[in-house]
Amino acid sequence: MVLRTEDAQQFVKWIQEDFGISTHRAKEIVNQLQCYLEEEETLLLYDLTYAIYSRSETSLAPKIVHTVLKFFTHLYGQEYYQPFRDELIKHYTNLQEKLFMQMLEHARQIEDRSDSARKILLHTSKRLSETLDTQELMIANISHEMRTVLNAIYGYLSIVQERGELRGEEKSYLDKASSATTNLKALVSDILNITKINSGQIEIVNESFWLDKMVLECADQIAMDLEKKSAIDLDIEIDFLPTKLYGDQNHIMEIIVNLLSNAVKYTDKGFVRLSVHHTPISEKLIEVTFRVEDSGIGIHPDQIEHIFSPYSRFKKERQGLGLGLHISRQLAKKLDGKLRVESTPGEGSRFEFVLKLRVDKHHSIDLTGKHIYFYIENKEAKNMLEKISFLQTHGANVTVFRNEARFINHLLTPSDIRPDFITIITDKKGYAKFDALIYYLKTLATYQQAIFIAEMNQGDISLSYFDRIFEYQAPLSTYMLTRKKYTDQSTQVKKRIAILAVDDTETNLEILRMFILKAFPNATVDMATGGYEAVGMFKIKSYDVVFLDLKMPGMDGFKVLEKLKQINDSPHIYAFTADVYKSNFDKVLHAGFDGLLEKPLQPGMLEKMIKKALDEKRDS
Amino acid sequence: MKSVIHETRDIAKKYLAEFGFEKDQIDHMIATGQRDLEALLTTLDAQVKSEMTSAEDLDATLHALKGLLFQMGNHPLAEQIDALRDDQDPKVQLRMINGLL
Repeated sequence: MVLRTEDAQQFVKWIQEDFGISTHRAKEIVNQLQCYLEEEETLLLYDLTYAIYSRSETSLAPKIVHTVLKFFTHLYGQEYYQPFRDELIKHYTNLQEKLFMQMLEHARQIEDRSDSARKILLHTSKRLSETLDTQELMIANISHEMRTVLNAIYGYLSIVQERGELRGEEKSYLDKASSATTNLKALVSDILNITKINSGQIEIVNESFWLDKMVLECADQIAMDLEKKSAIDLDIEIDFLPTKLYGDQNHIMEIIVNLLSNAVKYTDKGFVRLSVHHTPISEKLIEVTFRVEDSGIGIHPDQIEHIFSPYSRFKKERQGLGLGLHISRQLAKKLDGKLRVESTPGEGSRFEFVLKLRVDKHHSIDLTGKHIYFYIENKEAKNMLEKISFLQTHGANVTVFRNEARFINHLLTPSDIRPDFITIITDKKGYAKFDALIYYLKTLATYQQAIFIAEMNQGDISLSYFDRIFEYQAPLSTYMLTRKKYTDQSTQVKKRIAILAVDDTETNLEILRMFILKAFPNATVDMATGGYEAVGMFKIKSYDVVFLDLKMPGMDGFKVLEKLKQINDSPHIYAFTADVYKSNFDKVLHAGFDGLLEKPLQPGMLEKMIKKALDEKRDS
Repeated sequence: MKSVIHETRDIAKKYLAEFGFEKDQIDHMIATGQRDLEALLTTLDAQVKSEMTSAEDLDATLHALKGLLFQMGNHPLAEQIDALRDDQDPKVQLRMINGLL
């Protein structure tokens, strides 16, 4: 059977329209169709199935079927091809059957490939997960090792610094090395933190705290960063909140300090402002918003979406690994809070951390019998009226002075009233004057138990006789202390016992730490895996109790004890050893240890040792 | 070596659980303990095979091993190590150490 020219031309046109291919290619296909109809060898079927496989269009196969039907229907309907109708039916059926079988085979192959792809993906996902776990463990181990070494370096540097034998340039190099070590320790700490977060090892520890006091402590923590940037002013604004809250204070502070630190880092001049507002949600719940704003370099809109990703540091000349915001975001999520940012390049940024906290209804405030004086000299003191009203509502007898002469006259006039707190808010000259006056007042019986407080003192002035100096407002909790228990640290901090554990085997340290935290959840337990590291840590932080392994490579426990006693004689230092022979016990006591904690660990003995230190701390 | 590690691991799980620690804490501890135990046993193996190892160094490793085994609850083995340290006969010591490894 031979196709007529006009039919062949029609077919070429249809193929071009239906499949968008060239005239030359369309003619090739029609020629192949001709060969097929003449029962000659042809690549028609091969070409059609190849097109289906290679072009991956799901609509292609039905289109081909439809076009083939169109061809044969056209031929079947023509008078000219009437003698060939049976042949046409046979060729059509044959071709469609083969096409159908090819399409089935193609579908089966796609399914096999999908199945293989799915298996490969699963396997890859599993391997990736294992690699990430290994990587995290590796990072944790490396970070731990780095921290150990850094503490040792810091220990050595401190020893040399203390000897004071270097002068001039050499001393300056030593100081810089020490400072660089401190920075590196902070970076390693960040890495450790992120590993802990990713492996779910962060624990939420809820406790009762004063919001204003916590915020002011955050400001204190960035004081060193601010000293290097004199062109920045730090403003603090805290809504008055006359009640304690219940939450994970440590992690909240970590987030705020991170935000403040970043703000200072990316601001060269202008301001950094921390404002804290709260909205009641119910009788037991409030929503607190911490807002950190700055007049810094700002963040470009393209970079904002990545700002909470790890290692996203946009200005390489600014120090840090770029983990702070990522850690903050992860911690915020862990606390069921939200952390968001808005920014304008060249103008500054604003970070907002919002979370809900429970009101601590269990503590009661009774200031009955307390006498409090306020001297406020023409200064805008935010929340002062609310604070005074709060103190009065809770029983305090509050007297407010606005005139300096009258205030000083009152202080110098003999009286039966012995004030508990005297708060002074004045200017730089005024503080200097009152500082000298307080020196005299403290010799008088009337002021023996008074606590002198300077609030809103932002001047560069050294005050020697005030008991507490606040750059911003004094937190409410200040007025709940008594002279007897009063020190530079709050009672909240004092209850938190600080312990240093030293052992060259990490497992021993971890087990000891676990037992301590089980019995004393508020304790902080630092760990050192060597003598030099322990000395380094002991120099930079005060500890209440030290547990010291005796046999360690390098500096053994006895030598470490000697060094620690030179630095600070007050903590309780216990030997921690498995060698519990009488001779060793005598040696330990003779060396100056306060006792011996055996391995295997006796929880009862451990608790007794720590409790002893806690009781002494409470009474001091 | 593997048998010591496995035995200590199994003992530690029960030992720490008796004190009321959570599974996560125990698992973490076991992982650290296993790592430290492997490191110490490997060190011991190297020391035993080397002619340069001093009695002092060997004793230090045995001491550390004893402490770790005590902490992980494998008291019987810790006491054996302690006894081994006291034994003056190096042949007995070596035999015991090889038994461990």
